[in-house]
Amino acid sequence: MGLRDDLSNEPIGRLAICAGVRFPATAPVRAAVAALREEKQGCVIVVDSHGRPEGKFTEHQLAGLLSKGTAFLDEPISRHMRDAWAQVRLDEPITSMIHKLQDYHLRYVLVVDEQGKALGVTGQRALMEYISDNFPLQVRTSEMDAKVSIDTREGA
Amino acid sequence: MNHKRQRRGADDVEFSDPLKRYEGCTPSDDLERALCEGTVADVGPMSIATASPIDTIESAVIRMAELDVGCLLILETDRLVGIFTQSDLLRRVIDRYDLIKGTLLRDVMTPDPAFVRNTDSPAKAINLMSTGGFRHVPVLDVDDRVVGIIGPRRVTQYLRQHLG
Repeated sequence: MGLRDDLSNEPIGRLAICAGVRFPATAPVRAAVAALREEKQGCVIVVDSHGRPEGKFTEHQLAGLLSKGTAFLDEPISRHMRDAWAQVRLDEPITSMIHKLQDYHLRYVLVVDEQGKALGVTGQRALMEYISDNFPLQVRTSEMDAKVSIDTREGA
Repeated sequence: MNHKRQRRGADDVEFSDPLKRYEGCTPSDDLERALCEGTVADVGPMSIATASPIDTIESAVIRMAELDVGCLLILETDRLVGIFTQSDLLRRVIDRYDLIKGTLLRDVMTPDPAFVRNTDSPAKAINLMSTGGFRHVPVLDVDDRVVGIIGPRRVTQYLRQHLG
């Protein structure tokens, strides 16, 4: 089997799934930003009192908000969260996630259980890691031009 | 027993072939072939947004917001000297933004970022993204000129094109 078959047959559960940074919509943006930085993540899952996802807040929004000043940091996440999530289940094939990432121009998808409860997030980065890990001969034999450090990882 | 250490001549040094464990790429399907034998140029690097190392953080933030981009490539006389990303904003800037917004990018950018050539394989770009944790990888031509930037979105698009 080649990579194409692997991506078509293997479930999303094979990808790295991050539990995610979770906050209620009433929490201030400042707290969410601090958690993103501490956890080295790029996306907050905004959840209701039952743990069901209501929306998201991502680091991609920061430049846009910051360009208008820093007042947003003390406002509740609800004022700035976005509700555009694509959801996937653990047993869906990885190709399903690839299509959703592309169709909705997303960086992350939300992984949910059968009751719709958020299990975590996965996305483009996990896909790159999957290809590197499962396609090592072709990917890892490429030498790197520059020193890289895992401490400087971006986002989720 | 002679404990005298003897210097070994150049002819005595055992040669170790650094590529002795290298196995060439043997693609199993069209997708693998595209990753190994295609080029970063085939993936379609995105156009770039740039800034100067002597621009301020504030001007960079406004530029990133206006262009809706995740990073700025920092160029000095057309040479890549750094990168300033959303993650830099999150980790180094946002908490102190009002205090440091006049700071120059050269003091907060990531200097000498990892890059790929436009003739490298997409597999190499994936390697960099995965191993280094980079979301944005600048693409340089053979003359070290920046010709674009590649990220997971373009790579995902490329994967989908070759999924059949």
